[in-house]
Amino acid sequence: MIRVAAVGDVHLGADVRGSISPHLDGLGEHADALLLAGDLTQHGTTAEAEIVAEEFGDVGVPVIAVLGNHDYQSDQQADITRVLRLSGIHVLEGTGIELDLPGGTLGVAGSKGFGGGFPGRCASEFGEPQMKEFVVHSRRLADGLGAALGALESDVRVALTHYSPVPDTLAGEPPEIYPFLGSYFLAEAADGAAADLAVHGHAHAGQECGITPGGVQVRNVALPVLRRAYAVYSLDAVNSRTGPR
Amino acid sequence: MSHPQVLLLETMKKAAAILQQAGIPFALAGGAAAYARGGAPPVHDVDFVVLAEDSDAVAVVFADAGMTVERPPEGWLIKAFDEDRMIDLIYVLAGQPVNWQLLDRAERINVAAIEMPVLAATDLVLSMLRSMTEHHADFALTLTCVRPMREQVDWSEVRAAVNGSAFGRAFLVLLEELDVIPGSAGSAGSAGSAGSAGSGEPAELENLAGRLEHALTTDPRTHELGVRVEVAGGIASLHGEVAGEQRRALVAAVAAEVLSAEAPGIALRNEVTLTEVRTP
Repeated sequence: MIRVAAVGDVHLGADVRGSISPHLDGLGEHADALLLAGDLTQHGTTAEAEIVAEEFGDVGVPVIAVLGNHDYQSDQQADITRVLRLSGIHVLEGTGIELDLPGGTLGVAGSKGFGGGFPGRCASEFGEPQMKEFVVHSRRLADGLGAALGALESDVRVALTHYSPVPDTLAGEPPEIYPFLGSYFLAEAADGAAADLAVHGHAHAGQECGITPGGVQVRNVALPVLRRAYAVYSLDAVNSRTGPR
Repeated sequence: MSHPQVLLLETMKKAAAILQQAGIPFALAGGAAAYARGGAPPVHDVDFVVLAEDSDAVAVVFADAGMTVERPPEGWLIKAFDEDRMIDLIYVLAGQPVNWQLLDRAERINVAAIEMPVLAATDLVLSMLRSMTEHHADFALTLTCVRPMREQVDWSEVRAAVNGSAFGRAFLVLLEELDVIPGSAGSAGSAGSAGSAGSGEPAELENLAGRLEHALTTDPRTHELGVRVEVAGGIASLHGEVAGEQRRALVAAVAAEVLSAEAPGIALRNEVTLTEVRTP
């Protein structure tokens, strides 16, 4: 059994420095790895990334992250990635990582992902160049996620994104903004590779549990959804989630 | 109309005459006032409001008229009995002492062939919504009273006044869902509606909500995407969650700047809460 802890949307900044780390004591007793589902910073600055590194750089298990839209706000995403990597956090974008853990090998493929919506009410690559650009960005990131997932040879494989692959976990958000919260392209990527779990954030008012059309369990781990510092999922039995609540 | 209802209306007229002859200012309230404004006749009792300073005098004149008078320990009304028919003489209405302003707003209406002051429709609805509690929240009865007089009520004033009451807000939602009143500007589902329940142009209020949300998203001090703004009844209320107290204060500061520049008449209500983090 591989136990994966996950949280997203911690939105760290100087004003809330130190608000998460006290809750991470003993994380290693409950989980074999920690996934961070984007929006690690509030304003997307390297100064905030330093705080993320302080908060998550020394939790006793491997930490794997994707960035979120907030982390792009100040055009410092490359520097944020560098700061996080220097502290030992693995940052994924269209890439994957495989870890040899006591319970088996864990593969995580990650991408920020993007919006566009879900079947029946989604954006298409049609019309104005801005519209095409929006959808192409989403498709390109999902394709990167799919390729990275496909390349994993681990016992269990997890898709880590910031944006949601399914509408299920958005329930609670205004339906009008679903196209800005996720894209079915991400579900296609997870389903295409038959991932064992898809973890995302971004939808603060959504709910934790969902499932892709292909049957991949989806978890929205945005901090305001979890109301706890992280959730733990045991990956050979995702349906009957174990570990501390 | 059944016989007991006719007798209750006679009691109402008798009570109004007693107050009028004694020179005690009053207004018809409760279900009887709703009847005066087009609703169904009262069935349980008749309510009047009187000034708090007149409560002793009221007790005396009703006793002098041969009625049994009780002063219940709650301390906000006097009960008088015309045989078995009850008259409530209220001097603290839904928690607020009856004052001259309330009586001045009352309108003289001909009720069952006698003209008497009747609570203004807006005050009447407010008194009903404000008196709701967990143990007393009869939406059905209130709906019966409110529906016939909906055109007489200033709903934007009601909306602003009951904003702090869960029962009041819930009842307004019910009225909107039943199409008794138009939806509030800025609330989901009202986009494009021509009806106006708020002060000012509804489209303008919705656009103001949009501009506030845009400012909270793009202002470098906040960058908050999850804060929703509703503008109704002269109040812009902010809803959502942020990570810390300082961010909650900055959200209010940014919204206040937009309001002071664009809509100085709109008040700000910060209902943003803080994200709770527990140790798993």
